[in-house]
Amino acid sequence: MRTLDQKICAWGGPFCAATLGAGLLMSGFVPPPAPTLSAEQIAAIYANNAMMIRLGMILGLAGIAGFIALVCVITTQMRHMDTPSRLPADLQLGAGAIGVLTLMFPNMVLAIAAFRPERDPALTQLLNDIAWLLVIPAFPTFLAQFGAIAIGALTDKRADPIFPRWAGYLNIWLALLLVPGAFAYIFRTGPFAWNGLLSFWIAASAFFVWLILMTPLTLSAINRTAKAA
Amino acid sequence: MITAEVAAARDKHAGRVPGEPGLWVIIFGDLLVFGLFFITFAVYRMGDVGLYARAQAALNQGLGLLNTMLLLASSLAVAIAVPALRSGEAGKARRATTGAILCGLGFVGVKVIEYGEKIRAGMTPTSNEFFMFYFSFTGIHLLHVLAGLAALLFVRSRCSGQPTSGTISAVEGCAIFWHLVDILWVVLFAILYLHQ
Repeated sequence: MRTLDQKICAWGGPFCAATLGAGLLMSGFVPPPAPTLSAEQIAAIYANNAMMIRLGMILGLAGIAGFIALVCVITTQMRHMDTPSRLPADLQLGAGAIGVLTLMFPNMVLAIAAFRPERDPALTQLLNDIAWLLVIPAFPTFLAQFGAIAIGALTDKRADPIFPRWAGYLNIWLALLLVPGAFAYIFRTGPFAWNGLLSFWIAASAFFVWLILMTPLTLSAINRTAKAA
Repeated sequence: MITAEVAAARDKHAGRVPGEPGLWVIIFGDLLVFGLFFITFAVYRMGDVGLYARAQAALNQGLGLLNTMLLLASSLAVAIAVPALRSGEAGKARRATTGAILCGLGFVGVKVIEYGEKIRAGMTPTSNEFFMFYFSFTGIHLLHVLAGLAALLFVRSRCSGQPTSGTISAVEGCAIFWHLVDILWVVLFAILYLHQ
């Protein structure tokens, strides 16, 4: 019972994956509209799906609450690590908290784009550009956050480590999969465009895998640290 | 001595994972991602074979081959360094690692020259699809080379005295990563520079 709060937060991962994923799917943003579409085509997408996009984005916002909860409980557990300093736990929390913004603002901008279907198509295209170019290249906070988990997992001197070492290496790998999204600033077609194989499909998969994977890892840590206390 | 041999023979049968098992998550993960890169390249290439053939002709095969030789040589040097370190020949291990690092630096230098040559000739990542792949794939690989060089510097710093089993494991991990960097380049060289 003492750990119920932490367990609820840990389940924020799958909760976020489910609601954010459902929100994107019902908005028709899997994959996102191509960067090569004209202003009129973009405006038509928002006009025709306005209500589904608005509702989908509300779902997405709810999901982001789950991400915040997961970030915090990971740090709660990382404080039990036997590391030279509290840096890994602190960096994970700080970077994760800022990462929330790069998920939340694009979500809001997409809803804003759908809010007024009658506006000038060029403006809707601009909002669409802003939203996708906010979220797809947003690797730095996740690099720092997943990297902090990796540093913690790999330097933890506990006899019964909080996270297994392979989870540390996996966090490095998942973080690196988000980096190609940065090239979305440069390319409008191909695998690096914001709807492309590497910038969207691989990067989004990496983020969702992280959300779903960190939950059992954190639950296991909660159970073990609670037993030891 | 006999016990050591028996133990070695038993190890051979039990099978041993070089480095630490968790590291292989990254090694296989990276192979998976580059495998995806290569499939992506092949699929896009089928869409416009002529363009890819024309653009490929602009690459400097000589410099590509030189870089391949540099990385193969440095991989060999690392393969000499690790057993040397294991058997306590720290001096030999350090010399071999230094050789590997110099070859790696040579690779970086050649790549910088090559990029400069291309950019001065007006070939940039946005010129066409081929150069988008060329610059992004070799650029991501170059980041691997830099990370690998940092790992080799770590290896070199450990080449003194009799190493502990923890050191051996860490050094093996670095060596495995360097071999990964090498094998990825060999495939990149084949598909970007040679594949007709």
